[in-house]
Amino acid sequence: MSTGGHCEIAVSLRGLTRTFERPDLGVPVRGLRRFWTRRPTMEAVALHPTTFHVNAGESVAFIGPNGAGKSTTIKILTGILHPTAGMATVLGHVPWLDRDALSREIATVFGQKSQLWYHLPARDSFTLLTRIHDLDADLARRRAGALCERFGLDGLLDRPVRTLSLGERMRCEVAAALLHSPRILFLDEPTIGLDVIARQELRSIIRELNQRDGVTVFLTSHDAGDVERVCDRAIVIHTGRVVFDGSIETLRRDFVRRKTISLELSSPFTGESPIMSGVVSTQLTPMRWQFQVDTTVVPAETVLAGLIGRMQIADLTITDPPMEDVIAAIYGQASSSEAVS
Amino acid sequence: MNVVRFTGAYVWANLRIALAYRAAFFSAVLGMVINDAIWVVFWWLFFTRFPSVDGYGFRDIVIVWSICATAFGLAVGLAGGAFTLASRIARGELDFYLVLPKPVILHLVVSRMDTSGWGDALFGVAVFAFLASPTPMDAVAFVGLSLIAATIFVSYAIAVNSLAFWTGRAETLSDQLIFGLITFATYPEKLFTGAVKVVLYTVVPAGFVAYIPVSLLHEWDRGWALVLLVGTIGSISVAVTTFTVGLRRYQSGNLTAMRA
Ligand SMILES: Nc1ncnc2c1ncn2[C@@H]1O[C@H](COP(=O)(O)OP(=O)(O)OP(=O)(O)O)[C@@H](O)[C@H]1O
Ligand SMILES: [Mg+2]
Repeated sequence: MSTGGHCEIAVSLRGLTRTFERPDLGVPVRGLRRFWTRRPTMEAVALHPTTFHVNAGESVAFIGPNGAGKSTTIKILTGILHPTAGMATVLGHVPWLDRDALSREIATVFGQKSQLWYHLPARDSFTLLTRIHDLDADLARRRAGALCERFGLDGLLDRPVRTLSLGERMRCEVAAALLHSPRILFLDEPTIGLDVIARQELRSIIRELNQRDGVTVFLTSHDAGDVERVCDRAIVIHTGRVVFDGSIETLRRDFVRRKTISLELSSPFTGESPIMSGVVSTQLTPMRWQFQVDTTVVPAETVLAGLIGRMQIADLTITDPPMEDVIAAIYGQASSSEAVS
Repeated sequence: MNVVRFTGAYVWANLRIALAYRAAFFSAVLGMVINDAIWVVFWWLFFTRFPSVDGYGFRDIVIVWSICATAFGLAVGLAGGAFTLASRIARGELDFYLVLPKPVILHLVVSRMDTSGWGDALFGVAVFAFLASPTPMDAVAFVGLSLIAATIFVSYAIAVNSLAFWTGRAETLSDQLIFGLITFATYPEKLFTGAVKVVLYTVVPAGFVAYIPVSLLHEWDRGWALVLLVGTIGSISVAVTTFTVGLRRYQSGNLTAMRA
């Protein structure tokens, strides 16, 4: 997804792999032997060798079903986990070796883990983070002020974090993560549990950071809206393999090979519903019809050509499937199916 | 200097959290003072009946207790994170510290404060001041030796808690080892000989947290001071190495968590 010209690579993975050792419960070790035998373990693969690159300034949705290895990837890229094999660099640093330098240039937001001090007002978290990042106190205060204004945090900063609603807290979390002006923002399911409004607020905050400030965004989410509203590019992993890497439009257009043709008729059509293989037709009213076309079987144009001869069409629209359906299809898909890539 | 300011910021924040729950804070401090005092009263009663056991008197036990209580109190009061490390490793709670730019172990250690430790420290200092009749020189030595002993307590806690990287759950083991260290430290060294003594200068380093500091307080000796210094540096190295090596095995976790 390079936009041409010179592109700085922000994140790069080459064959990055992670396995976990788990007790193998299938092998019983009973009785006293438990105390001195090493419990048998098995290797569980959390991330199969994975390769991709992200350029500086991109905003990437990293998607895949539960257990695909998304959080594991983010944890390796932010220096939390060591990989089992392979290589990765983030802004030129190897995350697990160069954590200190890296952590001054990136920020991480986990929807499920708070990074604010629970019992203290968010303002105190800002003060602590100022010390942790060795920021200039005045500079940090001004930056905090600017972030608060931008994210509408007035009145929230002086209440203990434990008294904030989830939505309020998430806005504070993102503001706190941005205090040291990171160049990359990693977000792991940031909108989880938020209501529609809070979701939209958070999305537009993240979008604006990417568009206006040029912060590279790398986000995981199960929410179609997050992917569409925030990101330009999607990387899809399924059972540890990258099965799609391309623009959001391409994902929508091509991942699910299905178009919906909606027709408004100028006179009611009461005849036999047209039967074609790869097409499911639905009569909404005698004046309105809908056709789901599987474009791997028959091109939408062919279907349309057939319909034009039989129906008197006043208006027509051809739409790609909604993002929800695309994501559902991705998750439902067996690893064997070769998607566009 | 950054490290000092950083630690200071944490102490301040933790103190604010503690004071937000004032009643709990003061009862923890008071409870610990009473707990320690009961022991000293016990020893006082003991020595009024047997004034000296093997040349060992009430003042000796007072010094042992004051050093141990002060050192342990400072350790858990300022570096309480070292003592809760095992459960946080097992629950995958290190993520937060790993994405921030400070030595992870330092950050973890200062991130928690056990307020009951302030009771221990208060008690230790008071007992030393009032019952050991110290000279000004003694007082200086007491402060220095308590800080060194506290450092060893913290190092020991880090090392044994880091076993959780290998065992998954090591809270019970590490708590018992630390409890063992305190127990041995508060008894006179004379009780132990042979192999036990070797253990007390290695695996359960009561020798370094108590016996050597106490003997130095009685009588300054350059050789023993050097041994103590080497022991302190050694224990810090062991702690940092164990933690660093263990960290490669860190598994994180997906538990939903709030920062307490
Ligand atoms: N600490 C761990 N120990 C053992 N297995 C783990 C551990 N962490 C993750 N796994 C396994 O690795 C795989 C990938 O987990 P990961 O959390 O990266 O998935 P994910 O893509 O983030 O899923 P979700 O969408 O549910 O958040 C899962 O099968 C999980 O069970
Ligand atoms: Mg996840």
